[in-house]
Amino acid sequence: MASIRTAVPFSPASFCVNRMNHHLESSDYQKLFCRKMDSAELQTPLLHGLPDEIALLCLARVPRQYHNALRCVSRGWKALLSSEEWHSYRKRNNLAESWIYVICRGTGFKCYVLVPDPTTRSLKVIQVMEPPCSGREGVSIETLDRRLFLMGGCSWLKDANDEVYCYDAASNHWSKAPPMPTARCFFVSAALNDKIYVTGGLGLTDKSPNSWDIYDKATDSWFSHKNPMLTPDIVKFVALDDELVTIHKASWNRMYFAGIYDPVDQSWRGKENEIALCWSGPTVVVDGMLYMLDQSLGTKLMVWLNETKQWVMVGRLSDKLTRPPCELVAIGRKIYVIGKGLSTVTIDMDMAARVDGFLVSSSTGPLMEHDFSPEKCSVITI
Amino acid sequence: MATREAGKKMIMLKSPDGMEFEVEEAVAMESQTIRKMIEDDCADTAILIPNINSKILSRVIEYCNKHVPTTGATGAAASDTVAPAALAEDLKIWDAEFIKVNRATRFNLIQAASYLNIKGLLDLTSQTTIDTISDNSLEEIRSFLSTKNDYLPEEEQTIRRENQWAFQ
Repeated sequence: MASIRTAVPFSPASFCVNRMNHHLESSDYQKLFCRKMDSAELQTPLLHGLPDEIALLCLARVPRQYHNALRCVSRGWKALLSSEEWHSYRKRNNLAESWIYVICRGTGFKCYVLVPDPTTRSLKVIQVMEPPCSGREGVSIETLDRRLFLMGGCSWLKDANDEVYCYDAASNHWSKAPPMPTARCFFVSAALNDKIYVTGGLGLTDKSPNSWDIYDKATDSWFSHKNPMLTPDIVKFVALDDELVTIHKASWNRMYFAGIYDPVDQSWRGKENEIALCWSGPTVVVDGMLYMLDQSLGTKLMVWLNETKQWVMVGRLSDKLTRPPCELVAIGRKIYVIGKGLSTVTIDMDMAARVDGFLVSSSTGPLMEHDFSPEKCSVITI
Repeated sequence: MATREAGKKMIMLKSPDGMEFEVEEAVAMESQTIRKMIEDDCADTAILIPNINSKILSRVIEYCNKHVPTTGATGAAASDTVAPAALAEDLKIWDAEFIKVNRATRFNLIQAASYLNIKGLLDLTSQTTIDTISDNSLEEIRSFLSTKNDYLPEEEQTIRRENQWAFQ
């Protein structure tokens, strides 16, 4: 045998072994391992007979619908499901699953969790939750990462509220989040790059007609903000291209116009007013393209073309199927149009074709007994 | 030394207990870890696989041998005669047979699959654990996987109530 070069395991001097460890992405496992060692209550191994970093690879392959069961097994398993390692491993290995959270209004509101069913290619309800503030009206709902924020609102007993409730899908747990600096109901909100922006609404005091508040995930706190450029008549926010499109309704002539807020240098500038047409319709962004559902005469899916500064019709949808008022939500390049009673029309943007002006889509009938209207749809991927 | 047999490059894999396995490069490259080492020119002829004993390593090689894509000169004959669907079905049956091992061996295979970064083998070896979790009650999951319930009774009640729909 001529020169057999053997890689010596775990010798820091050996380039090869270093590379090998690099390919194993061992730093992640190391982190998990160290963290576990720090915490006395997590010393029980996740799976008896396997190092925790390997048990992670095994357990992370469990489909999301069984995650509730996993949480009940032990404290270690529950902590694992909320850990960054869990989420980053599932994401990296294409194991992450997207669920749709639909807030519906009936008597009080409920949150329906819908799961794409690969066998029937439609959605099915997997869970129905009653949020702690379900008796309120005018609540704004936004999603950051794996958390759903239910902000403000009012009830018979109390005018505008500053309370914020938070549902963490990673732990399947409701909790109270820091309250907003300003009590609001029926107000405008948007989530963009780890921050939630809120403005306007009823129940504001004289001091605050022009205020907007920003929640920052990094510090888990709100800060109040005043922008002199900003007119107080914002009726809608749309997060697009790392900026906020602000849709305004001028009080003096009731015309709609638009602006853009750049969160980085905190500046506001004008925008072509045509985009403001989406003030009343639900919107969704797919691959950087803004789509709107026009529900004024039948239902039409429109797309905003930045080059020509106009809304263009992608296609019509039968409103017998969409059952307006609808909300829009997207997973990957599939747009789900969710209407009354959770009737759903699915449009695959890669396959979308028009036949006689009608969009080719698949639809499923109501998924609940009542004909509740959806108020807000979000996607949380775990 | 690079051994060439009918145009196939061979790689020597060594287990820490001194056994040597000569495998085709294509087979060894089912492992992403070994593939990277070969591509980075870190391995000429022999690669020591630490932490994986010869018994497990031989099973891993057996798996890779079966799962190496049958393309090119050697595999052309096989894939010409058998339809891909039948081949996949055959592979499934083979996998099911392969994974009929005791718990210790399975866990060793999981570790080996993770170390050598063989995705298919990791999926296969994890499947039994996943099946246990999806098919059984909480108590059964704990007992099958010998996981200790470290919740206090009232804590467990709360967590079970919060996650109730999982048991419907």
